[in-house]
Amino acid sequence: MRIELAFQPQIKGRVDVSRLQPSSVLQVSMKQLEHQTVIVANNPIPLVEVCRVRREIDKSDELVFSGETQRLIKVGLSMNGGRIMVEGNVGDELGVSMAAGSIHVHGSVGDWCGANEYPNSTGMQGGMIFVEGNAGDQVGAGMRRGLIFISKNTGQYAGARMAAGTILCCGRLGTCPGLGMKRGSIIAGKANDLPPGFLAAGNADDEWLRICYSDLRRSGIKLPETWLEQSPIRFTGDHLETGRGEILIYDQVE
Amino acid sequence: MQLKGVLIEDTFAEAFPMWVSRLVITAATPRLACQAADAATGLAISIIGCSCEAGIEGVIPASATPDGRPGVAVLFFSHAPEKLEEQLLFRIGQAILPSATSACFNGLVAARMAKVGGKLKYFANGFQSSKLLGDQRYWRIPVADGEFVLSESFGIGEGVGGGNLIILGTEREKVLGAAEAAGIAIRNVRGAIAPFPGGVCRSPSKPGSKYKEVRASTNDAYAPTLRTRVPTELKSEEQCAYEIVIDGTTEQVVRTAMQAGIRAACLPGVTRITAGNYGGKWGPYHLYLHKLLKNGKA
Repeated sequence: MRIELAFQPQIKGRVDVSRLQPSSVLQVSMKQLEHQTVIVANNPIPLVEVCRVRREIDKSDELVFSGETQRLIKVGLSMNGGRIMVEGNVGDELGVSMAAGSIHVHGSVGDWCGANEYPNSTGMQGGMIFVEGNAGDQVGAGMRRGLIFISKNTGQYAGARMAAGTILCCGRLGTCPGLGMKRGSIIAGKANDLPPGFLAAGNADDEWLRICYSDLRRSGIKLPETWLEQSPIRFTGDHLETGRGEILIYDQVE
Repeated sequence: MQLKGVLIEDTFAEAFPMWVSRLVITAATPRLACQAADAATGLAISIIGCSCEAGIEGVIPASATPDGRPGVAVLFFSHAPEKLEEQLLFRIGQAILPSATSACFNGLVAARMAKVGGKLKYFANGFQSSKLLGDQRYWRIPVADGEFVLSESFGIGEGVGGGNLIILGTEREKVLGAAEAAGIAIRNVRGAIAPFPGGVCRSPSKPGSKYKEVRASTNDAYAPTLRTRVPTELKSEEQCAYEIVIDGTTEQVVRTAMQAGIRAACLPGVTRITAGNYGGKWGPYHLYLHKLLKNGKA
């Protein structure tokens, strides 16, 4: 079953779609679905008033957001399975505290992608997020498990307070990546600067990276050619915490 | 039944259930991967002596391994899952972990999983770290050439052990040549191993001994030097016998391997091919030689 929700251009304000989860949406009737609500500017609004619902019976089992997607926030909040596809840019808090499943974004995402939901400190706890574009600040903040792939650049504090998991950024990391991280891996092409708690630890020719890249390529994700040929430089940190995390940089730290 | 002038006896090999694990060992080069696989399967000839039987199943191209490096698949068989887990822990820790550039992955999806990587991680003395990629957890153990990466758990599935062939003939060189040809043919069957050196065993055994502390002893009925002292299985012109033991992931794999072995061993100098059994009382799988050959495909 494939359900596409095409959001209309006349929407004003941000649309909180946290109630639209693959596990719930894909199993209800068309009528029930149309009466499901989303929060627009703090008011619950039936889905039919903000988007056109299209349902296709196939084997893909995915929920697709299209149209005016840049107004959407909290896509896949606490998601625990299934697959979400976003056809365009999307707002903040995508995949926040998600536990399983995958989210593919054909565009850029706002802040707090895969991060923790306030006031909890634990971010994403499983699953995968693929962003074919840029990401805002605090990508994967407090992340505990799972993988976030960003094909371009991230904002500041990517992977801040990370407890585990993997963030791949094919472009440039914003300032202070991995600040306060305990464990986990951030892999990037370039980094503006690293927090003072990170120390250079030589080249990283790691087998787990090959496994990770093989898995990604099998999923159709394109990685920079240079990543497959050269070893990144490893920085361990944050040594103000446990020092067991790592940032792997391929091209340069400026 | 005659096949290329060789008598195929109307008898059966008696095989029995075993537990099996499949490891995929990778390294920077095919030579290093083979070296690690050889070390891991070393001395795992017979469960009589070391509680597991192991062998190289085949080479895996880099495109089909988890980390995209050249690999080798090895199979381990044992009579009890606990023993198999113990052997995996011992052999991965002692042979694969120290092998240069190696990594070790689970190659068998099974309902029962042995937490081997989850125990070997303690070699890292607190510096171990894990990665959960997809639904697979890998452990990273820091070593002097980088990191040893291994799967957290290894599948333990149901296999079949004890398929066998006994090749007899008039001249040792020719019988050995035939037995080695059978060993090569068996190695080409995916899912099957012949755990003896080169696949060939010159010391078929029988259970028990006149000495109470010895569990198995030489099968005197096939020893040409004893033909005047004990009831012999050797015909007057036969001077030599070699046994090939076959373990496989399924009964069908063992059948296919036995068939391939028989066909490859029918060479000049071989008088007959038979198989060992215990009257059908021990193992539930009775692999009749004639049926294997009559069916065309095993």
